[in-house]
Order: sequence, then C-alpha cells, then structure tokens
Amino acid sequence: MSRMNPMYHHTNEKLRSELEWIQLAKRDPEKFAPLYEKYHEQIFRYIYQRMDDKELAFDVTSQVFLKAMNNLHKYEYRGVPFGSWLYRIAKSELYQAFRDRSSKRAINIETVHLATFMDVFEDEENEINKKRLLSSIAELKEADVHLIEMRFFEQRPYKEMGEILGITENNAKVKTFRALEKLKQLFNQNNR
Amino acid sequence: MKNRKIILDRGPISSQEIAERQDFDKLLKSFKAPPNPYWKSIWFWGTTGVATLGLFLLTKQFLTENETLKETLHEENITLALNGLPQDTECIKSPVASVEIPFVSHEIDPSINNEIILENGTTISIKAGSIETISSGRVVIKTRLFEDKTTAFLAGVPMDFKNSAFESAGMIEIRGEQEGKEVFVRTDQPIEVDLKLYKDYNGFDFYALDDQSGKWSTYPCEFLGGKLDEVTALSETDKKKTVLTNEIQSITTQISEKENDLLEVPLPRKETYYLPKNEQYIFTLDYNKRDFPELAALGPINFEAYPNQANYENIFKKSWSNFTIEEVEGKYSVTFSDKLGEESLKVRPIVTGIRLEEAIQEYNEAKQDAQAKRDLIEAEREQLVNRRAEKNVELQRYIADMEKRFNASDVDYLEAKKILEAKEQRKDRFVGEILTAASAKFRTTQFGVFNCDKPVGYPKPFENFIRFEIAGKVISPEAVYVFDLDMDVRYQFGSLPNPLSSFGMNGNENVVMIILENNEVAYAHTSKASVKQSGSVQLNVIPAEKVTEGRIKSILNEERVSA
Repeated sequence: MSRMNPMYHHTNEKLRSELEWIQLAKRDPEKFAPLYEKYHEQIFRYIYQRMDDKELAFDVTSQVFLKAMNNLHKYEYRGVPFGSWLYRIAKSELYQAFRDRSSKRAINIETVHLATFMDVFEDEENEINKKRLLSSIAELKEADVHLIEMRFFEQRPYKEMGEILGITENNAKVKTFRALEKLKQLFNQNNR
Repeated sequence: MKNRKIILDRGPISSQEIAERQDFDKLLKSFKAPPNPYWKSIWFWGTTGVATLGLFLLTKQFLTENETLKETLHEENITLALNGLPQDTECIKSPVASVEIPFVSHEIDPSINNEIILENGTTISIKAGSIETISSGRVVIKTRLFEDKTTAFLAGVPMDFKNSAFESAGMIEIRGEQEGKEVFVRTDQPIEVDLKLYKDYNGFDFYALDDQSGKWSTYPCEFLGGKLDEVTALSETDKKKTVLTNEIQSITTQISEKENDLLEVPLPRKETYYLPKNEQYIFTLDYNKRDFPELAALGPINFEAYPNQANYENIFKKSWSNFTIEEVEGKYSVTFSDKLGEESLKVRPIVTGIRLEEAIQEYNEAKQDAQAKRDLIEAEREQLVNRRAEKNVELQRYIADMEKRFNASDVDYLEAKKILEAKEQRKDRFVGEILTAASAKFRTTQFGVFNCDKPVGYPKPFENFIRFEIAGKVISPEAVYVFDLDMDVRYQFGSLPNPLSSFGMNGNENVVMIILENNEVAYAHTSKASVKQSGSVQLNVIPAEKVTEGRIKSILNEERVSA
C-alpha cells in the first residue's frame, strides 16, 4: 500500500553528503542551492496539497526556503533527512498563511483515494457514501486530517511521517490508526 | 464543520511546472545574513569579562569566609553528608579489625542554626552556640546509623542489656570534632535528634550508651508516629498505587501493540482479486489482448469505472469512434475519442465468468481469514481495554483511600509531607524512608550512641556441650555470636554472664559466627534442632581478605537494594 518516497528517504551515505551540503551552506548561503533544488518540489506539493491557491502555494514555498536559509545556523542534524526540518517549517508557514491571508485550509482528495476508505469501512462506493465521507473528513480535528492526508492522500510511509511529525514510526502508525478509527466513527454517525 | 475546503480531483500539476517556478537567485536576494552573534562582539566580551571577574572575586571571598557552600532553609543551615571517616571509641571496637563501619561527616558552622539530614531522613538540629567549641572554625559532626545487625555488629556496638540482648528498631552514633579534637554539647543548650526508626517501636524503649563502661541506660525520648501501622498502611497503599499505575501503563502499551497488529492485517481489497464493486459502472471493451498481456492473462474481463467520475454518464450516452487504454503503474485509464474531442475515465479490470466465481471464492476466503485474525486481535484489544478500565477503577479507589488516610493521619504523614515539601530537591532520597518510618525524638547534651531497643532474653542453653567444628576439626573460640534472623537480635556467648557453656539458640533460623585469629570469620546457617541433634556446629570460613560488610550482610540476609 505504501510507497517509499525516493526523494525523501536516504541511505546513510546520502544523509552524510546532504549534511556536507548543509555545512557548506551554513558558511556560504549560495551553497544552499542543491538543497533548494532537491526539496523544492516536495515542499511545494506538501503545501499545495493543503491549499487551494496555486500562486499562494508557490509564495509560501519560497517563504519556507527563505526561513530555512535564515535559520540554517540553528539547524542540528538528528540522523534524519534535512527534509523533515523543512516540512516542519512548511507546516508552520502554512498555518501562518492561513492566519495572515485569510486563505482557507484545503484538503485535496482524489476520487480513487476514497475507495480505500470504503474498503476499510466495508461500505459501498456510492454518491451518498462519498458525501458522508467528505463531510466526515471535514469534521476531523486538524491533527487527524494531517495524518490521514499524509498516509492516504500523499501515501507517505510511516517512517517518513514519523520523521516529519517528530515522532517514532510506531507512534505514527498508532496515531494514524486512531485517526482512521475517528473517521470511521464520524462516517457512521453521518449515516442519517 | 471546520473551516476547510474539500477539493475533489483537482487537476495534477506537473513536476516541470514546479521546476520552472524555482528561483534560487531571487531567494538569495531576499536572504539576509544573520547578524553577528552577540557573543562575538567586543561589547559582549568587555561587559561579560568585567562581570565574570567581579563574580569570581565575590565567590572567592564568600568561599573563604564559609569554606563550603551552605544551604539555608527557614533560617537554618542544612548540611548534607560529605564523606566517611572511620573512628571508634574505646568501648565500641569492631570485632573484625579489618572491617570498619565508616562515619559520615557533616561540616557545620556552630555559630548558626544547623539542621543535618541523614540518609534515612533522621534530622539533627543544632542550634547556634550549642557546641562547646575549641575555636571559631567549623565543626565536623560525624554520624553512623545502624539499621541492621551487620552494621551494629561490625561497628562493635555492645548489644547486651542486663541479662538480655537488644533487638533494635533504630540506632545512631553522633560525635563532634573540631580541628581533630573531640568537642561536646553545651549542657545548657541540648541538640535535638529526630531518629527515624525502621520498625514498629511498640514494646521498645530508648537507651544511651555509656562510652566509658560500655553499658546502656534508659534515656528520655518522645516517640513520634505512634500510628506506625497507619503510616505503613498508607505506604502500602502508595506502593499499590504505583504498581497499578505501572500496570495501566503496561496495558496501554499492549493496546497500542494490538492496534499495530490490526494495521498489519488489513482486509483484502476487491481490486486485488479483480472483483466488481459497482455493477452500474461495468462495461465491456474489445481491447487488443496483445497490447495488454497482463490483462489477457486474467481471462475474460470487463472494465469497471471508478465511481464519482463526473463525465461517466456523458461518455456512455455517446458513441465514440475510437478508444485507447493506458496503463501507468498498474492503474488503467480509457480515453474515448471522436472527431469532436476526447474524454478519459479511470478504470480497473474485473474478471467475469468462471474466473469471477473463483475470484469471489478466493476473496471470501482471504477476507474470512483476515477477519478471523482481526476479530481475534480486536477481542484481545477489547479485553485489554476492559482490563485497563478495571485497573483504573481500582486505582481511583486507592487514590480515594490515600486521600482519606492523608486527612485522617495527624502527625506522621503531615510531618513527612512538610519535610518533603521543604526539601523538594531531596524528595527522592527520603520519600520511602520518611513515609514509612516512625521516629524517636530526643534532646541531648551529650554525643554518643542512642538506641531504640527491646531487651530480648537469652535462649535456653543446650543441655549438652556443643562442639564448634571447621572441616571436621574442633575449635575452641573465645566468643560465639548467634544471630536470630527472624527476631533481629544478636546473642553473644563466651563471657559472663553468658559463658560458652550456656550456648543456646532460638527456634528460628540462626547464623552462628565466630571471629578467628587473623580476622577470618567462621559462620554457619543452622537451626536449634540440627545443633541439638548433632551436638555440633559445622562452620565455613571466610578468609580475612574476603570479610567485608557486604559479605556479612549477605550471610545475615540483610542485603538491600538501594534506590
């Protein structure tokens, strides 16, 4: 079900070379370019997944990298890809953008993804259930939406989710399971 | 409903479009180098340097005046244990010369109020001017707590009182020293000791040892915490509460594991078995099997469109002149086209005919299998959840019980709580002892050994003379010690009024111990019945170099796990 994001997950060797880039960039901002190029698309997609406005998503992405460059001297290597730090900045910038620019939080869903939930909930895929499901997703708490989004819409492995959220892989699994249970509960409540 | 917008099937954005929007140069222009850190500025080093120098000089002056750091609490000086310094008085001489029970030294300033707190929570309060000092310098207060048979024995504390042996509930030795010389307590300004006991003191009395004669005499003291049973019960409740909390935590972990297990056993998906899900979206396509051998391998198939595709109805209302099937990463889409345009539909292959029946059977079996596993895990999880709920109820009961006891308890717990609150930082060290121990509070104008004891009569002697043997060889010891392991008492035979001819032991488990020449220790775990039957005590020998406090404790079953 889950696929590995090759752009995110690294071998130890790649982590080391990324760390070298970071150390160089700490001394010379121009050396940040390879990191920018490597993570730009990932971060943009992460933001755009949660936003409706494409242009705004590009703006926020730029903000994320600017903030990363400005704060790079504070970055500490913790054995996980640099991306996990960027994702955390992205999350913070995203919510800042919602606050500052009156942009609404969006949840982008593909129809094919809905089928997965119907399977899990053992219910039929029909128009009524689809509406129930969408309305249930909209009712979930933000933290649960974030987990569902990462796991089912972005199809991130638990390991990556854990690193982005700053929790263990196992904890990411358990939290996602609970979020799914909550969604199921809301889905069943929306039966009427 | 939260303030969110749900967007369904938004068109994809290509990597190329994203890449085109990359603009590192623009980013670089917006980048502002972080300001030079404050600690690199001359201003910082100038100011900090002066401040540090000033602080250093002040500290040095302070240390010179006080010699060591003092901690003040309610205008009292609390001194913590520093290190051990062995010392014996004339009448207190270790029977094993090579082993010493060290003193713990506490340096105090005798000109101010001091409160010394010992490891078991015992406090010694010395008011300013209570010590008859030699000079104006600091005084070293040396203490030894004897909380088991081993330490009292190895320290050489005499434990006989009249014709009985002492069973102790708590014993302390306190000495004072200044410039290497003994100092005394002023007769008009007694020091106050709150000695924590490790046993219920009912039936016990309080004694002080005469250093000169080596004899004990009763000494006035106020026993506090007469409700030791209550405090013990409180402590037991507290322990049960901890056990329950740990159990609940462990069950929660197990529940998480079960939830994890559930994730590992998902129900099979109909797609995996190429089964239809929505009959109304099934249609037939006469595709070229050579182009899609993987589909051909499935046998006769139809296609099912994924639901909720807006253009589905329109596509099937119309006749199309052409169609193409496209496969990307195992996902199929069909594009219908004619001169006017084209429409795409996401589809998946579904098996038909006999293959459909087989697939249904396979799917059902897999589903049944997975469901059975999931049911089992769910049941186990449910059980755990129920167990946790039960434990939580039990825990709440204990908490309520504790609160009730807290409120009912007058002296012990409240006092302990007060001490704990005042000495929050030392809480961990004292919590166990303070909560469970009663205490003997006494005021004294002399240093020495003080003991909460109960005289226990010597056992009836054996009728026959008992031989003491090491490896079959009879020895003639000068003194034989018998430790009653159940009564916490030590008997000494070999001198008046208990000569070796009156050797006897209680009916409990006993350890017989003899100190041999060259500080070797001979010992035997034995019983009254066994000695009576054999007429002898067979002893093992510990070589002098292996005689330690730990070894003796191990023989006397007094090894404790310290927190």
